[in-house]
Amino acid sequence: MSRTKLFRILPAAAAAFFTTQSDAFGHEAWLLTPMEVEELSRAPMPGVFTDPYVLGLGALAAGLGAMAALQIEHKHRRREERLTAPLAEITGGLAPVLVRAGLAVMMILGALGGLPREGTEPWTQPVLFVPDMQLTLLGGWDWLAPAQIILGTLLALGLATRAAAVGVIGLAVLGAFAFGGHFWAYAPHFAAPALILAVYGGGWLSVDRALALPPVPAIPDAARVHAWRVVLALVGGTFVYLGITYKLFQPTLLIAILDHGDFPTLGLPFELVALVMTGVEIVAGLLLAMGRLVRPVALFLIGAFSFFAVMLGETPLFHANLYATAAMLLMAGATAPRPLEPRTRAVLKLA
Amino acid sequence: MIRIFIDRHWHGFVMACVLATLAITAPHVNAAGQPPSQVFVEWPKGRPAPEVRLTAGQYAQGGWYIDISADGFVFTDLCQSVDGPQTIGHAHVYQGHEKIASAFHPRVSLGELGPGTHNFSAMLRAQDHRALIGPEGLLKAEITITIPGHRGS
Repeated sequence: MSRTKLFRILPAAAAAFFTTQSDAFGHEAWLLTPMEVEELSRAPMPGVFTDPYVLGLGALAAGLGAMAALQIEHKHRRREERLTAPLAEITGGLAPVLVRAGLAVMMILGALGGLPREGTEPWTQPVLFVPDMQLTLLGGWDWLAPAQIILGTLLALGLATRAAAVGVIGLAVLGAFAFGGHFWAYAPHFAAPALILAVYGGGWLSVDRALALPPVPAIPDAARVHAWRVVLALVGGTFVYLGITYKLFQPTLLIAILDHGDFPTLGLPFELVALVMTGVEIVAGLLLAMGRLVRPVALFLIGAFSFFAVMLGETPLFHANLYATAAMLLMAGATAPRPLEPRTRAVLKLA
Repeated sequence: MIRIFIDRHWHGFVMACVLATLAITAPHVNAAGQPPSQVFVEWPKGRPAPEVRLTAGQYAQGGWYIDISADGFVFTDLCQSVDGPQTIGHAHVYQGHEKIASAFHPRVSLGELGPGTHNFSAMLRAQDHRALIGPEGLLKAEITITIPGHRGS
């Protein structure tokens, strides 16, 4: 298949996927029916999550599996580099486009109330980034909604991208002050892609590039490499945090969600499936945070998000930032991608 | 030799340490068996949990309503600032298993009800929509309204 065809088909397929799952609510915890909520309130803690021997055995299996995967990565690193070399050519231009789109979708929809959680009507409650962070619950933070719209629009256009990205990082930090500790479950997954844009700029299809604006300030290579490490640490570390806080320490919720979605367990009890999922999420997060097996983990995450969106009837738009981030990691791997060559005004005139 | 081994395997070592720590600590944390805080918020321990009661009535001009009463619980709009989030909030009202309203006031209008049996329930929610839970379980109540006559007549 030619590259042109691929570029035509992929956006169409993505658009179809993102729009066909739109009739459900956003966050996993809010999918449950009242009867399921009542059952969940009485659900006992599953034995496998309290038994030190089972957990120890699980940790051993997860550790051995991860170490085996690390050995495979070590052995096939050169092959991976060879196979992904064509991606390296386009990552600096394409990755910022995906990240801009992912962040802009979440921010604009959120600010307009288009990310409703259970119990709220669509387009009535503006949120900060994600469905459970309702701005109307707070006093004096309403201005974050228009701020999101402005920043989201700038990102969508790729106009003043670096400044807008710094603004998004600011919003992520402010959100923690406004909403408290719960917000740390989300903030890094917005701050990390924004950091990429602050370093790499708007990439292709941006007004900045069309106007051939110079990168201000120019980012030294060493800073770019450090920023990439920070991005990996933020993204991976947050998955570890989520795996521990919301799965390992709240397994009954995960089990209720699996039950709700008629998750195929291949005959295994939900408790065991939940334990495996918890371990996989924590290990995947650790690998990302350490910059190991980045591409396989990113591919796995995209598959997992999509699978759960379909299983739970949830719109993937609620995870647009994560799709974009995972796609960027899939393209770039553990190494900081090369920045896009700046487009000069002379080139623009010739074109 | 040792240095080469460490350089090559330190990621695996870090991972093993994290997983081992989690395997040791998780049983202690989970032993408390608390309901997931992402979905539930506990009624303050110092205050007696309210008994939720539903009473149904009919407007003079027609149409039905439910009154929700719960001692110590204050209904509020979402936009109101919060001092004690565990005792302030709203209720989700369901007909069967379908949510039909968010009640920001104790009275919820149901509109006209046709002949037959209608089951309603109300569950108290904190301002952030998490379900309030007391020592005896969820703070909720149910009521059945029966309208004489035959369905579809």
